Amino acid sequence: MRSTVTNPFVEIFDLIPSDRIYIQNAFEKITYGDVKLSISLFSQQYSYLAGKNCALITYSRFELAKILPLIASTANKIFLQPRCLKEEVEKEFYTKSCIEYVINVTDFGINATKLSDVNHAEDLEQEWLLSTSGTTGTPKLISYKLASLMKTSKKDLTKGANFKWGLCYDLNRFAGLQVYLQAIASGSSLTISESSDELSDSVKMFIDKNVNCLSATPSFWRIILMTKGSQSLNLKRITLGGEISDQTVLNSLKKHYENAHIVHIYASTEAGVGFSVKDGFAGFPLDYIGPSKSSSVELKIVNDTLWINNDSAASAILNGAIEIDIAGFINTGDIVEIQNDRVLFIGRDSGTINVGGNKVIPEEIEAILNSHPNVIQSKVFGKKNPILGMLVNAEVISENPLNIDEKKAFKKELLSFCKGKLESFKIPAIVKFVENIAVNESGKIVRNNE
Amino acid sequence: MRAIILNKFNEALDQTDAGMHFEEITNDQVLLESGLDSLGFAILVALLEEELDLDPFQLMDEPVYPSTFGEFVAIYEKYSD
Repeated sequence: MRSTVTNPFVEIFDLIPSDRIYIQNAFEKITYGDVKLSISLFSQQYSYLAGKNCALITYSRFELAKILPLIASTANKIFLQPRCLKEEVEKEFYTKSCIEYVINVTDFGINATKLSDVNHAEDLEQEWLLSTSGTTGTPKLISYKLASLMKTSKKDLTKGANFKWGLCYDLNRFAGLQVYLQAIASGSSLTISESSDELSDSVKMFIDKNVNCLSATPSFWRIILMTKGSQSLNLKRITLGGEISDQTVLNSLKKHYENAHIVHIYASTEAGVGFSVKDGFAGFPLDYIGPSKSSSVELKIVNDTLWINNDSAASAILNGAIEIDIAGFINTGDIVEIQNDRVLFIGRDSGTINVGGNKVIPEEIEAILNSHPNVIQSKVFGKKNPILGMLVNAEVISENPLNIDEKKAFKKELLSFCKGKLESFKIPAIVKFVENIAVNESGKIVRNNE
Repeated sequence: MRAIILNKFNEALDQTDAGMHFEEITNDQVLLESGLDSLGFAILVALLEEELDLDPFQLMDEPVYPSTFGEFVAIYEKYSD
């Protein structure tokens, strides 16, 4: 049955002037009117998807943005499935979220495969499901009520006409979805780059399409600043998120884009949008800690770690566990430090290394290094880097003492040993040979954030 | 300084499997078109810090992100004094 509950997302396409551009890339341009038309065609052609729980797999961000409104106009639950999900995780996710149809969108069209039949109540508020990246063990599956996802998006159609957003995140991840919803809630256009694009080409496309609002990780911004021609971006609004925004990158953006409104955002898939900082300084004001009058988000610091309580947070964790206390605060795992009247981010308590927005678990790399026959032990840690925020460094105890030339050769040997086993950003950038690696009383490697 | 940077530049290219090697790099070579991607560039800065015990990007009051090889060398020359 088609739900009679109004869907605030699908409603957008009725409200926005049909000649406004919805999404575009270098090759294609789709208006809000085009989508409105497709919605009615789709619900006729795929009437069997009405009220069903669907997993949606697409091969590009653009394709996902194209089909999402169509599926949302008819389905009950939508799982925005990332491509790289392991088979056993996929199976578990499908069971936990009662998926009935898997919809594959390829160059050849839409292919819907029936998995199961589930009896569920009609007229449910639509839920969207996202998977976390799962760098810390198994990915988590998180379900959001549509209204809570759209809560922070401003809905001003008049102002929206002047905003042209650029997308440089995946649309099936929390950060990308936020940018997307923000853009379309006000009827703005979204210019979509793909993860496979060269950055310089993405920047060229953004300039070409007169993009004036852009949200990206600090690492991505640093590379934009290094890209010739990036000064021609006429930015009104700059958003940073996903990593620690340091003062240097904030200052640099201010200098290059004098007219831009610069905001850094604290958000996570589990905790939802936490808060934004608009004063151009790293970290956030100390008075954000404690109960807030104006927002539904409450913050506290326990043992140097930031905890967050967010009303509009995920409605349910369907798979995986998060640390949550009796008052409803979620442990973010982010270590903070108070300096004067400012709270600054230091790193992750799990030791997770964030290389340009990609999370790296030290133990995973240590396991590979330790599997080399001439390595006795290794320790992997993150070290601050001005370009990517952090880089992977390793200390290695070699079986035999090495002279300078042998060290060079063995480093080379270790790196090629890691290639093929690890993604490039996980391979240690710096390898240092040491005589011992400190362990604590329980025999674990002593880890401290550098 | 230029020789050290060129040496480490090739090492970073090597580490990222760029399959390239430079005997000489001209000042107007655009960094992001030199075969180094953002990871390679981050590695270059880290290798130079290991070699010179210097990360000029941490020392800058006014942030500068170089776009050519000449600008990059100039930054290191300025901060190595």
